[in-house]
Amino acid sequence: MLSAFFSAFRTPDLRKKILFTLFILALYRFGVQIPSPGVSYENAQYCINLNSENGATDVFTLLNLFSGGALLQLSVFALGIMPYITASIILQLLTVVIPRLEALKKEGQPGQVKITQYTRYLTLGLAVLQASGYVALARGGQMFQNCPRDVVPVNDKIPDWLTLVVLVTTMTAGTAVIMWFGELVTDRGVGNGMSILIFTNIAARLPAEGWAIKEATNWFVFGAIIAIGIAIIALVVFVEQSQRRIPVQYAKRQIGRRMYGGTSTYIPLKVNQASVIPVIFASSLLYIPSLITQLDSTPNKFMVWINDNLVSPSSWVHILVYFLLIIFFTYFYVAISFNPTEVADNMKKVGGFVPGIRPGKPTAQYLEYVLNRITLPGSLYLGIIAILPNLALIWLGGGQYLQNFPFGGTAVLIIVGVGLESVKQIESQLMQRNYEGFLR
Amino acid sequence: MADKDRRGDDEAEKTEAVKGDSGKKDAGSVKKDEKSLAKADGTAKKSEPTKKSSETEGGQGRGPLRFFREVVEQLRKVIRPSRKEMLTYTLVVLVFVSVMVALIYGIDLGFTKLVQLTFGSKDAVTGQ
Repeated sequence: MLSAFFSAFRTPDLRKKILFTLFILALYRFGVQIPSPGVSYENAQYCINLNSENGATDVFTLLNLFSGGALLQLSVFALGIMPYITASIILQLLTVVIPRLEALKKEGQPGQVKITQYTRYLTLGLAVLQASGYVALARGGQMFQNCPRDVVPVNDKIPDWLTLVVLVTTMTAGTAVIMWFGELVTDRGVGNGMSILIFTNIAARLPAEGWAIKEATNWFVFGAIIAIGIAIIALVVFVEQSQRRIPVQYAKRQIGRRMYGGTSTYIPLKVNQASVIPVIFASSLLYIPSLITQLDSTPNKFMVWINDNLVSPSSWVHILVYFLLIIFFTYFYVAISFNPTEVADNMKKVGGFVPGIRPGKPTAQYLEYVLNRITLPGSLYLGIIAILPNLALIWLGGGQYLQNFPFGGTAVLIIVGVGLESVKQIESQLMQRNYEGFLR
Repeated sequence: MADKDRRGDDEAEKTEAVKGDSGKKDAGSVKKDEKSLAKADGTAKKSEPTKKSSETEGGQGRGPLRFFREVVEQLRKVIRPSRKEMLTYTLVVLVFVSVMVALIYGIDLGFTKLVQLTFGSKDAVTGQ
């Protein structure tokens, strides 16, 4: 199996792609470490250490995991890819509502390009909003409560507003660069750029989080958690690899002097056709209420309710909402990414049909029927794995060490999903060149 | 399989014209047909023809219960990965993830040192 890694590097084309992806990742991690202008690196580090010593876990610790540690440092890439994800959720939801967007989507490739362009603009807008929010929080001292030092110290020579404007601009620009990185990786690298970047963020936090668990408890608990993690990985692999195969028969036909078709294949419908996207969507939607509570710190009744029910990861409302959101987004994403009518039409054009079902509309209906039914267990599985750590929080009484793994299920899902996807892509590229792959 | 193919080729058009859209049932297994028939006897004693005409998606019963039965039916047809496949995939994912985590950790360590040297003062370097 290891030899497959070497043969991957021996293929010039593939080596280029892998190295390019790694290079982008390195650049990305570099940006995560660079503090934004106006931020005191020293004070930020001091406050982060103080926070982790107190074992304070609030909203920002969760967000920090998703931004790969960039947020609390107020670095250039502090916002991470969250704005882009939020923007693409919003746009995809809007496609259903706004007729113009729907028309664009039906246009095919050129329409898709336009929608992508809109997504980018929306991302920048959201980035400005979020950056202003974070900067205001950092300035007001809410980001690090009970930290005596100023993260953004007042400078006598530079007017206040200039510092803030520069900060917001830098962070927004950082988001734009991340967006570009993601698209570059998708185009010229291995795997889906956005997922790879999220993967990087989570992977970057894993050693520290793991070590925190070991420090908080002992080797035994640590080992147990690792074992559970591996079991979950196996489970995820199992479900990701399960598929419902719909047989397709091709009619024989003669074009010129040659015979074509007459073969039978299948359409693979995965049990979890949507992969990790629903989890990413749901968790990024769920962090919006926590943001709201942080922005408005006046403790009125409404805020307290949100804080107790939606933000706290061990509350039943939070778990339920998360679970339902994942199921919703699974169906939603499957609906927008797999178009039965299109598949049925394509099949009809090339003379294929599902045995026993007429080509055209009945086939589309059949595909939709199977897809809707097969997605239910898929979505339930995603939801259950994602809320596992929250359930563990409740059962084990919210132990300190579990608090450190707030996105545990989500993190594992994303890591395994992206890992599988990337390895499979490398594999298929290897196969094209007749090498033996990893997955024999 | 072969039986179904023939049906799709020769007979389906005629039968489907009569039965409406119940062609889906033909694609379903015989096992399912027996089960659903038994179920129909047990619960709702509807007459065959009305069921045939009303049912566009196969399966009997009403509402969510029927949906769940159909889900189970589809799940039965899911092809699961073999044991060997599972082992290799899990192992490959584990190797991939550990390599990536190690790599990113290394990169991070280097950059953190670099940034600390550039921006940090002494007490930040020694840590809190």
